Amino acid sequence: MRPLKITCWLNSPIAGDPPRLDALLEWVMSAKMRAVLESSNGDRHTTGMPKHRGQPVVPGAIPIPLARVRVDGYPHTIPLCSDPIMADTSNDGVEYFTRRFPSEMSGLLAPTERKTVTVDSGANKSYRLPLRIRLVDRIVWFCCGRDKIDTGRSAGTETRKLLRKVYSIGKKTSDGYGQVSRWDVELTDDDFSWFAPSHDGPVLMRTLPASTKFPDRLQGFKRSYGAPVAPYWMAENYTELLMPC
Amino acid sequence: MSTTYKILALSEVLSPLTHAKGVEGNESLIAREPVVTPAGVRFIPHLSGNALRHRLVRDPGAWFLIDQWELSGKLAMSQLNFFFHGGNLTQGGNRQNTSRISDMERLFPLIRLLGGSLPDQILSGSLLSWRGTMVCEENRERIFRLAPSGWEFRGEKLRPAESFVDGYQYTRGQAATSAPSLLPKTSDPEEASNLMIFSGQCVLAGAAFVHGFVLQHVSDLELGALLLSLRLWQNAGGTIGGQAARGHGRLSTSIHVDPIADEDAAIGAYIDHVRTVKDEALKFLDAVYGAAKAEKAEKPAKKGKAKDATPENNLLA
Repeated sequence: MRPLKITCWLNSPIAGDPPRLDALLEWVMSAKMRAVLESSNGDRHTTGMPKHRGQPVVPGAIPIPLARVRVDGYPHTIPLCSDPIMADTSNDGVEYFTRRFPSEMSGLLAPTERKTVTVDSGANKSYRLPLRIRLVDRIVWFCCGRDKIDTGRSAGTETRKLLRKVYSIGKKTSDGYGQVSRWDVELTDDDFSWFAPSHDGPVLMRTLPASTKFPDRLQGFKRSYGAPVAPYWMAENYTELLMPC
Repeated sequence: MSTTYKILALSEVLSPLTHAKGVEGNESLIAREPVVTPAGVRFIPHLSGNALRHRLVRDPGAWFLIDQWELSGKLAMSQLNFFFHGGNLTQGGNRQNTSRISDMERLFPLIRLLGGSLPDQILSGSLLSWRGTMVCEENRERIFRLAPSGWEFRGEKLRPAESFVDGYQYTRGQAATSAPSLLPKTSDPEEASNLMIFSGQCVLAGAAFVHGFVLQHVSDLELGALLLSLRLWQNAGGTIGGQAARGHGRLSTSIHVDPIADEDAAIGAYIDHVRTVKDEALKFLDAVYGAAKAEKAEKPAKKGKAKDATPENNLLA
C-alpha cells in the first residue's frame, strides 16, 4: 500500500462540510459502472430503464484506487482514508438561499388557476434558508492507495485521473460554492489515514466503527452514530462510531 | 456519448449594477464575498451563482418552452412552479417511478441540465454555475486559476475592487406636485408629502466579472439548451441584479466553450427537439403535474332574478 496526501485547492468558499475522499471517488467511478452506462447511454442522467433495478449495491463494491480494510464487528470494508482536514478558516459565516412565488408571472396561469395562494406553507412556500459558508484555501486527505489497480496505473496516478473530474465539492455546488481550482496528489512516507502520532498518543484521523481495535491512549475523538462507509447517508450502514474532533 | 463542457464567460458591466445583499439604514448594499489577499481578508463585490443560474439559464429557457408550446395563460400552478423553480415535492411515499423519471429527462433537456422535482422525487441536474468573480487586483490569483490552461495574461496591475464601487440615488416622485391639476378641488393641499429619497451602492459601468458553467456528462441537447438560454438572455438586454426596470445591471457577455463545439448546431438540435416532443411533453405535464381546471360553463340566469346589466352595474360590459 502506498501512503498518499491529497490536496484540494479551492477557488470559492465552501458551503456545508467537505466530503470524504472515498465517497468522492466512488461518485466519479459510479458514472463508469456498467449498470449506469447501459441505462444512460453514457450520459449523466438515465434515459432508459436501469438494468440493475432491485439489486442493491453493497458498500465497497464500487472499485476505487484506495485500499480497504475489514475491522472487527462491522460487515463492510473501510477505506484507508482520513476524514477531510480543513486549512485555517479565514472567514466563517452564513449566506442565505431564497425562494419566492413568482407573482409577476400570474398571467401565464390558466384563468381557473388564478386565485389567492398561500406563500407561508405548502408548495408555494417562500423561504430564506441559512447556509454555513467557510473560506478556506485548501482541504487535505491522507490515504493509502491500493497496490494493484486494474488499469495498470499506480494508485496515485489513477486517483489524480479520477479527481480531475471533480469540479466542486460541498453543498450548493450548482451555485458556485466549493469550486476546485486544482488537485494535488503527493506520495508520503508515513500513513496517517486512520491515526497520526502525537506526544499524547495517536490521534484519530477517520470516523471508524466503535468496535474497531483502537491503539492505546487514543486522542481527539468523540462518540457518535452514523455510517463509517459510503454511502454515508444510508441508514442501513449506521453503527456506533468514534469520530475525530 | 456524453461530454463534459466548461464554459468560461466574461461579462462587462454596461450600466450600474445593483446585485444587492442587505441594507444599512436606508441604503442598500451590494453583495460581497470574502477573499483572502496578501493583505488579509477583503470583501469583494461578486455575482451569486444562484442569480446567474436563474437569470441566465432557467428564466430564459423556461420562457422559450412556454412560447414554443403556446402555454401562456394555460398553465396550472404546479406547472408554473415546474418551469420557473424546477417543481416541488408535493407527494409523500418512498416509491420511485423510473419510467417517469426517464420520460422527464428525455422530454426536458433544460430540466435535465438544471435539475428539478417530480411531485414525489427530486432529480439532480448536471449544471454547475460559477459565481461571478470581479476582475480586480484582489482576485488576480483566482482569475488566473479559472482560465483554461495555456491562456496567457498580459499583466499590468489590475485596479482595486473599491475603485469600481460607487453609489446611486433616486427620488420617488409626488403626483400632487407633478400633476396637481388632475386632483379634485376638494383634495387637501396641505396633505403630507410622501416624496422619498432612496439610495444604495452599485458596481460601476466598466467593471467586469469572470464566471462560467460546467456541464457534467451531457449530450448536445443540454449544451444547446444552455447556449440558447444565454443568447435569449443577452438579446433581451442581459440584465442581472435589481432595478433592471431603471436600466441597472446590463451586461455584455462573451463565452468560450471548452471543448470547442458547434454552437449553432447544438442550439438547432435543441430547438428541433423541443418542437418534436411538444405533444408528448404537454401530455406529460398534464399527467404528472395536473392540468389546469377547465372553465365552468356559465349557467343561464334564473328567470326574474337576472341582475340589471346596465353599464353602471357591469363595469366590464
